[in-house]
Amino acid sequence: MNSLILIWQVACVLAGASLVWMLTLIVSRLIRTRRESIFQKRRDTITEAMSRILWDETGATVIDDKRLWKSQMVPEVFLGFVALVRGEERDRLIHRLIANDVDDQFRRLLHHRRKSVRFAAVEALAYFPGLSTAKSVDALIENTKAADIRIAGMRTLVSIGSYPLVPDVMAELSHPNASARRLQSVLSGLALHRLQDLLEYLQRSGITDTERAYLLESLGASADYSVLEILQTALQDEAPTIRAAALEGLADLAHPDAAPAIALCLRDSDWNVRAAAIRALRESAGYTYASEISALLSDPVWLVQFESAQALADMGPLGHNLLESSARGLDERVSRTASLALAELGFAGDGP
Amino acid sequence: MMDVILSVSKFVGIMVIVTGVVQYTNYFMQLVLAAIQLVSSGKAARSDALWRRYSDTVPPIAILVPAFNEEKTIVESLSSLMAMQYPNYEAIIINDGSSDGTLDVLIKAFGLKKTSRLYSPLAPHEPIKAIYRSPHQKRVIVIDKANGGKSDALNAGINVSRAPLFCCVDADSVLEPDALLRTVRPFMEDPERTVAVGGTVRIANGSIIRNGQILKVQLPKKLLPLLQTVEYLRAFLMTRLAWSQLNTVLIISGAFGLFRRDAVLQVGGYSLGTVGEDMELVVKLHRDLRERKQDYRIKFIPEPVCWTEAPETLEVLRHQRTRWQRGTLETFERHGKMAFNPRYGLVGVIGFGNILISDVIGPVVDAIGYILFPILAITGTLPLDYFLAYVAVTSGFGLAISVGSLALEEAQLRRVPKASDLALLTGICILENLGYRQLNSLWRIRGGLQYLQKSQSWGVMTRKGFTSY
Amino acid sequence: MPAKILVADDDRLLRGLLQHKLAAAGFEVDIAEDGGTAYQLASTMQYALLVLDAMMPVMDGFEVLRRLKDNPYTARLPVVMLTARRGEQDVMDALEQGASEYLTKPFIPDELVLRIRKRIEDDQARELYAQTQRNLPNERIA
Repeated sequence: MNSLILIWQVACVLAGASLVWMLTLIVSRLIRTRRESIFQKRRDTITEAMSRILWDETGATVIDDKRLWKSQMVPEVFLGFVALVRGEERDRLIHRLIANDVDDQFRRLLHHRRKSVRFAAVEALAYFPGLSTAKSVDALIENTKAADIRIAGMRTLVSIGSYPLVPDVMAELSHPNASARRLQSVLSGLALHRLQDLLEYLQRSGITDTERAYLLESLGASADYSVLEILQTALQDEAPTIRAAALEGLADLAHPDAAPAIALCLRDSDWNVRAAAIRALRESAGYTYASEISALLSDPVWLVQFESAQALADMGPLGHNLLESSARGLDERVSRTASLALAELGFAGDGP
Repeated sequence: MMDVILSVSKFVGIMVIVTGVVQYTNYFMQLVLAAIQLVSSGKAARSDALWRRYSDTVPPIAILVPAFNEEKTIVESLSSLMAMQYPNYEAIIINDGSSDGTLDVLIKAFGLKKTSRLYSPLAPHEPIKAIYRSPHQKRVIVIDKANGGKSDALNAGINVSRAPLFCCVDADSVLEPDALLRTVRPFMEDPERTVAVGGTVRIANGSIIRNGQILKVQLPKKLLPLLQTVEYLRAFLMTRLAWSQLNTVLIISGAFGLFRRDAVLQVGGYSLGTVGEDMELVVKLHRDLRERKQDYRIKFIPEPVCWTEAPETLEVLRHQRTRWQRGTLETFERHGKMAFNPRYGLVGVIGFGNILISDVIGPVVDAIGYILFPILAITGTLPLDYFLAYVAVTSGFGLAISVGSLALEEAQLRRVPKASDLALLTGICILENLGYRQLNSLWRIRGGLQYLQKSQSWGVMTRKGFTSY
Repeated sequence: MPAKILVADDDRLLRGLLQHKLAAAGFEVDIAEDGGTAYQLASTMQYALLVLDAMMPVMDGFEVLRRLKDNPYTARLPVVMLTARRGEQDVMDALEQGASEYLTKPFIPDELVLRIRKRIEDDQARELYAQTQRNLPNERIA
C-alpha cells in the first residue's frame, strides 16, 4: 500500500527537517551568546558616557569615541535616563547629545530594520523638539505598517507640540490591535490644541459610535466651556455608549453648569450610564445632588448601588448622614449597602 | 477464518493510522498558525519599555489567590505579589477554610485588622467569615471564608474585588514581575472586545527560586519534569497561541489568567463542584457571549509570565493527568451542545472538534494501536508498510511537532537559558515519543473511565504543583 | 562625620546615579538591591535616612516602610520614597504610613538632595531644641 509508505516518508522528512532547523538554531544561539556579551559591554559604555555628562556641571567631559553615539542602543539607554531624572541634569544630557548630533542619528534610526530600535528612537525623539523631528516622525507615521509605532509617533508629535491631524488619529481606531487606550491619550492631547478639528470630525456624517465615543470622551480634556453644550446634547443620544462617553467627558471637564443635565442621567435606562452619571456628578456638583444619588442605593444593579454608596461616602458629613438614614431604612438591600459603606469608612463598628 | 481476522485487524490498523494522521494534521496546522502569530507580533518588548508605554493608561487589576492550608508559603507568595511591576492593583488572598495557620501567619506578617467592605453577592460561594486588611498597606486584602473549594473561593474573591479586571493565580505560582503588564496588553489594544487573556505557564523545577521570585531560570534536572517542559512548550506556545488566532481558546490555566470581571459575573462566576473549573469558565464565557451575539476576544500571549512546580513522581503526575482528563470530559459533556453547532461558530467546530479528536477518540484509538500492532508483530502478520506508517504516526510526526515548537520558541522568544539546554530539550523531544506519550494516553483513558464511573473518591490532594488545591 | 544614607532600589542605573549625587553632596551611601536587604540593613545599621523605591523584588517598598514603622527601633528613621508609581492612593498610603517625602521618577536630583538635607537638618535641629529646653532653668518654663 503506497500511501502507507508515503506517510512514513512524510514523517521522516518532517522529523528530519525539524531536527535540522533546531540544529541551525542551536548553532546560531552559540554565536548570539558571544555577540550579546559584546552588546552588553557597548551598552555599559554608553550608560557610563551619559552618566558622566549628567554629572559634569562644567560641560568639560569629552567623549572620545564618537562612534559610541552611532549605536542603535543609544535611544533605549537614553530613555532609561529620562525615565529617572528631569530638571537641570536631563537638560544638560539632551544639550550635549544635540551638540554631538545624536538627534540626527535618532532620526536616522527611524529607518532601522529592527522594530524595537525604531520604536525606541521614535519615543526618544519626544525630547528633541523641532521641525526636523516633526518631519521625520510624520514620515514614519506615513510609511510604517506597525500600528503601535504609529501611535508612539503620534504621542511624540503631541509632546513636541506638533500635533497630528485629527483624521489621521481617528483612522487608527479602525485598525485592529491599535492600542485604543493609548490613542485616547493622544486625542486628549489634541483637545487643547486642535479642538476645532475634533469638533469638525464629530460633525462628520458616517462616523461610527465608537469614534464618537472616543471623541466625546477626549473633549473633557479641552477645558473649554464651549464643549459643554455638545457633551450635554450627546447625553440624549440613543446609544448608551455615547451617553456614557459624554459623561466621562463631563466628569473630566468638572464644570458645575453641567450638573443638572448629568443628574437627569441618574434615571437612565442603562446601568452603565447611571454609574457614569454618579461619577460625573462627584466631579462637577459637590454635594448638591446627594439625595438624588442616595436614591440609587436601591438600584437593581449592584455596581450602581456601589457607586452611589462610594459617592456619598466621599461627600463628607452630608453624605454620611444620608448613608446613616438609609442604613436605618426598611429596604433590606439599601440598608445593607449603606451600613457596609459606613462600616468601611470606619463608622458603625464592624458592620454586619 | 485466519484470513477474516487478519483483514479485520488490518482494517482496524488502517483506522488507527488514519486517526493519527488526522491528529497530526491538526497539530501541524496549529504549528503554522502559531508561527504566523509569533512572527507577526514580533519580539516582545523589554519590561521597562512596557512600563514607559502603558503604565499611565492601564486599568486597575485585582489579583485573586485562593489558599488552602498554605501556611508555609503564603507570606512569601503574598510578599512577592506585592512587588509586581504594575501601577494599580490589589491582592486578595482567599483563605478557603484552611485547617492550618494560613490566616494567622498572614495576620501576623502583614499586621492585618478586621474590616468591613462593601461587596456584591453576585457569584455564589460559602459564607465569608471576615475580611481583613492591612491598615497601612491598603492593597492587601484577606478574605476568611468557610471551605468550599477553589471555584468557591475565587467567586468570593471576584465579589469582594472592585477592579474591572481580575487575575486568578495559584498560591504556588511564581509570577514574573512584569506578568500583569504583559498580560494586560490585549485589554489595552482592544478594550471593548477582550474578555479574557491567558499567559504562558512554564515549569519551575530546577530553577532557582528565592522569596517567591525566579532568580535564575534553569532546566529541571529530573527526567519527568523535563518531559513536561517540552509538553508545556507545545501546549502553550503552539496549541493555545494557534487557538488565540482563531478566537477559540478553550482553556486559560488556573495558574494564571486575566479576566474581565463583568463578563465573568455575567455567567455567574466559576461553576461550583467542577473538576476543571478553569476550562469550564472559559467555555462558559464563549457560550454566553456567542449566545448573546457579542463580538469578543479570548486571547493568549506567548511570553512566559508564570512558573509552576511540576509533579516529579509518576504517581502524582498520573493523578494530575487523570484529573485533567475528567475535567475536560466534564466540560465537554456540560457544554456538549456547542460541539459542531454553527451557532457557536469556530468554537464549536475547532475547539470542541479538537477535544473530540485528541481527548475523546484519540486515547482510545491509541490504546487499540498499542494492543493491536504488537500482536500483529509477534504473530508475524504485520506488513512492513503498516509497521512504518504506524511508527510514523506514533513517533515520527510527534517528534517533528515537538521539535518544531521548540524551534519556534528559540526563534522568537529565546527564553531557554543556554545552547546546551536547547540540545538537551531536543533530545527530550525524541525521548518523549518513546514511552511518555504512550503513558499519557493510558492516563487519559484512566481518567475517562473514572469519569464514566462518576467516581466521587477523587483521591487525596497531594501538596505538590497543580494537584494542590 | 558625614550622615549615612541607605539607598534601596533594584535599578542599577538609579543606584549609580544616586550614589554619585549623594556622595557629591557629602553623604555616605549604602546600597540595597531589594526590599528584603533594605529592611535588614535598615533595622540592623544606623542610618540618617532611607531612600526607598516601591517596586522591588522580595519585598516591595510599601511593605518595607510598614515594617520599619511597626518596629520601635526603626520607626523614627526618616524615609524618602522615590518611585515610578504616581497614583494618588500610593502617595497618600505612603505618607499616612509615615514616609517623610514622596518623590516620583523622573525626579530632579537637586531637589532630592535638598529635601534629604533639610530632613536631616530638621531632625538635628529638633534634637538640639529639645536639649536646650531640658537645660533651661526651671523658672523659665514656669
